[in-house]
Parts: sequence; structure tokens; C-alpha cells
Amino acid sequence: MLHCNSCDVYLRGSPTQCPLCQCSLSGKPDDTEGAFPNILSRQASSRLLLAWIAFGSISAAVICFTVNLILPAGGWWSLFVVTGIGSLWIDFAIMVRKRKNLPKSILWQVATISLIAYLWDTFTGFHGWSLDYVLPILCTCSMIAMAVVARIRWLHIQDYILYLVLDCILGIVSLVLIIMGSVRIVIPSAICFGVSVIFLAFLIFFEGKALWAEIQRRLHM
Amino acid sequence: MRNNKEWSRLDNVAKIFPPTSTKRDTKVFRFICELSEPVDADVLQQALNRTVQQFPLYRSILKKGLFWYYFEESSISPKVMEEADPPCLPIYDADRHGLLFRVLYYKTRINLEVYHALADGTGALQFLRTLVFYYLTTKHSIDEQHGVEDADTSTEEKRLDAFYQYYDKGQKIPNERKYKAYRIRGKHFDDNFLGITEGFFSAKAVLDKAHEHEATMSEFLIALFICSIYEGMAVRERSRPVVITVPVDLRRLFPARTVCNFFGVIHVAHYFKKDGDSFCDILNNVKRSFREQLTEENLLGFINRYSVIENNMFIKPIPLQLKIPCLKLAGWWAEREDTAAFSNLGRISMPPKISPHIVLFDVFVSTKRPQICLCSFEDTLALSFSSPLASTDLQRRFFRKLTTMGIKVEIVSNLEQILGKETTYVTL
Repeated sequence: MLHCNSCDVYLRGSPTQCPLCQCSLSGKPDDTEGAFPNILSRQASSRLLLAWIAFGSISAAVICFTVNLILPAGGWWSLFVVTGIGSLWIDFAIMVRKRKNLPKSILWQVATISLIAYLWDTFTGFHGWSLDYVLPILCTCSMIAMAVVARIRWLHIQDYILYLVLDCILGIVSLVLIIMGSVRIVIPSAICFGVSVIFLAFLIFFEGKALWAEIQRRLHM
Repeated sequence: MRNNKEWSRLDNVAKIFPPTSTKRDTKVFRFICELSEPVDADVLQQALNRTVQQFPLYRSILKKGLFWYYFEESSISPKVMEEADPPCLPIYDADRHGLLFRVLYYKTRINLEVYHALADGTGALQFLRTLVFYYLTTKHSIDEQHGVEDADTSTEEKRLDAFYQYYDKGQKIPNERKYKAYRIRGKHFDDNFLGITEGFFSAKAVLDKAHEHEATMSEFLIALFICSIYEGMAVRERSRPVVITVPVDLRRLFPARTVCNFFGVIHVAHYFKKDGDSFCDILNNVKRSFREQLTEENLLGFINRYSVIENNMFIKPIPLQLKIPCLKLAGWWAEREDTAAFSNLGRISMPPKISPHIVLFDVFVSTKRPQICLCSFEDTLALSFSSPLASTDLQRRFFRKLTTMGIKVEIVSNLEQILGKETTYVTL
């Protein structure tokens, strides 16, 4: 067994120096096994890709802004580019963070995109398109998407029921918006409301027990 | 498919772990069982499948509710893997639900890594002993009559929150002393690496030395630990106390067969200016601290102090997302109060028929400050330092103290892998 003369300790495996004092060792390594594997350096390719995308979008934003500064005749159009890139990044970041749980990710996408659309709509003179089209269409599509994902990936009912129910509730909000008169084009919201109620009714009648169990565990104090 | 998945609450102490786990401090600990021959992956997988059936809680994933975290039964089946990564990598990820433990093997070692919210050392040890028992009985066709003791515990007993059982609402809660402890500073390893230095020696030799000083093994080793820390302190830092946190297995005083968390902590604080700086002074102080704090009354106070917060009717209805920052802050605050930690898992026993195939047991934990964990199997005492600090001065001083007493020490460490990597990096 290897021996460190300064520390007077014996060393298992075949290290090249004493881990305590970094001195060289005497003796011969015996057949005792090393206890830890050599660590392979990690592939950093995904990080590199992310760095390039981030760098690219920052550069694009800055170039647009600079060109806009030099040629201010067309108004402050670069602000649209910068906010657009910003919105994309916010959405992208949420998608990456939640990617491991698909139904949850879908619900988050509905919430984020609706909110971003609403803000865009508000700051560009509120034409109402975010409430008329974006929210109801997203809600409807996401309900269908969740059902499809659950089917394809054989998800357990309790893995997605809560997200689906929350999405249905969001869909029912579209009726409230119609009644309050915030929606001018009624068709998408009406369809969204209908689909939400049908989904919700199905869940309550066929999966009521699972829904109740999920509510209990999520709300335990 | 059944409609309802089982779920259960986290025990009292476990609630602090999910908010405070980070990449730097993953709250993961590792138990090692070194065998006398290389590990057979297929047999280990079979043994793992059987063990998990006996410990259904190990099949849980950790999820967030509106008010608290909870464990939910999952259908994920655990897979054994050959070790290829640094020790104690993060296990819990809020956005990816996975099992809260992993079983790795490397050459002759079976490694069990457990997320602390799931179990404490004693709880996880039961799992590992059962796993090793099934592995060796299958591998060597030994009959399974005299199994691992405690294995007959019912599932209900295993997942019991023992804090809740012993919490007495009417009891007065003693005040906890606060310290502003000396903190060991220094360069950290890159990439949140955890440096491990394992030392193996004869349990009897150390115990004899401890008895010479009329101390128990823990008291003796803690005194040596404090001495080693003291020698590395700058003179101007010596006015601050060295505080060692010592986790205590509460099952010894309060009977419980839970495999979840059930531990308390005591603190050994030594002020060199006031209490003296010789080994005898330190040892006497350690002994006094143990005598004063290792009492049923004091530890019951610990249980009550923790339970009273959890069961407070004003704290309960605060949404989890608001509790998380508070718990993070509390964890960060508590960190400043100690210098290092010392955790003794005690003697590990295995049925005599399979003992000859086992060389040793060992344990260490992810940590932000140096921590010693020790356990013994037959006459082999395994004492592991885990530390994120790149310097090994503390470890060297500690082990040299043992060798100068004439105790034979064998060392194994993962520093070579880390330092090796760093050297190549420098030469590039």
C-alpha cells in the first residue's frame, strides 16, 4: 500500500500524491480499488447554443436601435423590435424552465402568451385583438393539446387534471368577458366557453374522485 | 390503473430542505457499502426492486401544494447506475419530478444517495442494509432467514412523522442560544465540487484512546476536530467561538420506527479566550456540552420548538410560494451559526452470514462547511470529511493528530479527480 511519510498515512488505490499534504508517496500501489470514478468533463454544447442565441438577439436589438438612432425619420420602430425580442425571451425562458412537465408547461404558455398579448394590445392603442382572439383560441387549443398529450404519453389522470381544470376555468372567464362587453368578436370566446364547459363536465362526471383527491392533496395545510 | 395515488405530508424537519437546496448545497447524503468483490449490476437491480417494495415511501416524488410540499406515490421504477459523476449531485428539481434517491455502484462499492427531505441517516441506513442484505443473499445464495433487524416494521410505522407524535403543545419552549460562529474561509472547488476525504481506522484503537481521556468516541473526536480548526485560525479570529453542530438521532431517546427524518441537533461551542485552548480544556468543554444538552428535556424542547412553528395556525395558511423565501432566509441565517458539523451514525450491524462479504460502511453529506460523518462496521471505523473548500489543511491536521497517537490511518479521497482536472486546466 502507498504511504505518505510526512503524514504517516496509508493510501488506498493508486493516487499520485498525498491528498492531505500533496507530498510524493513511497511504497507500491496494491490492488485496492480506487473509490471514485474519473469524472468526464461535461458537454457544454447546449450552454454554448444558448449563449449564441442570446448573443445574437442582443446584437440584433442593439443594431436595430443604433440604425434607428442614426435614421430617426421612421419613428421609434426599434422599440417594437426590442420589446418583441424581450417578449420572446420571457416566453422562451418559461418554456425551458417548465419543459419537464408538459401539461404544466402548456398552462404556463397560455398564461404568459395571453398576458404578453394583452400588454402589447394595451400599449399599441387597445384594438381588442388580445381578448377577441388570442385568449379564447389559446385556451381552446391548450385544452385539446393537454388531452392529446395525456393520451399519447399515457399520463396518469392526476398528473394533468389540475392544469386542465384551471385551463377550463380560464376558458369560462371568456363568457364573463362577453357579458361585460369587453369582447367585440364573439365567435372565438363563445366556442372557448362551450368547449371549457364540456371538458369540465366530462372531468367532473368521469374523474370526479381523482379531481377531489387532487384538490385535497394540493390544499392540505 | 388505480384512480387515487397515495400521498403523504413531509415530516417536520423535512420541510426546510426543499427550499434550501441549491446546486452548492444539494442536501443529499451518500451511504457507501464496500464489498469484498466487484458489484454485479443485475443482482443489485433485483435487490433494489425488492427493497423498494418494502419501503414504499422511496417510490415517492416531491410536489408542491398550495400550502406545503407533499410526497406523491409514483410509478417510476428506480434503476441502478454505474457511478460517473461527482458525489452528491442535486436530486430534487422542482420542475422535473423524479425519485428522491439513487443507487450507484462503482467497482466494489454500492452507493446510496438520498435527498434529506426523504429520510435522515438512520432511516436511509435501514434502506441500505436491506438492499445489501438482498444483494448478498441473492448473489451468494444465502438463506434469508435471519434478516436485517427492524425489517419487520410496518409501512405505517415507517412513514410516521415522529415529530408530530412527540409534540406537546403545553410544554414550555426553552430559548435557543445564538452564536456568531467562526467560519472557515478559503477558495472553493470549481463547479460546486464536493471534496471527500475518507479515513479508515480501527474502531477499538480510537475507542481505547477516547477511554484514556475518559470520554466517548464522539466527544474525543469532536475535541480533536476543534483543535484542528483552532490551529488554522488567525490570532485575531480567535475571539469568535468555534461551534460544532452535532445531529442527534432522536430515536434513541424517543422510541420510533420511522424511516423519515427524526433527528435533533445540539451545538458544542468553544470560546478559546474563555474556555482555554489546550486539548484538555476543549475536551472538558465538549463533555460538559454533551452532558447538558443530551437530555430528554432539552431534546423535547427541540421537537417542540420546531413543531410549534409548523402547527401555528397563522403560518399554516400562508401560500407555499411565500413561505419559500422565509424558509430560505431562515436556512441562511442558521448557516452563520456554526463552524462545522460532526455526525456520528454509530455502529452498523449486519447478519453474521453476510458480514464476511462486506468490507466497510461509510457515509458523507453535501455541505457548505466542513463536515465529518462517521460510522463503524465491525472494527473498521470510517470517518469522512466532506468540504467544498479546496484546502485540505484541516483534514491533514486532523488525521495527523490521530497518526501521532499511533493509530494506523488509511486514506482515500476524490481530490485527485478534481485536482487532476484543475491541473490540466492550468497547463492548458
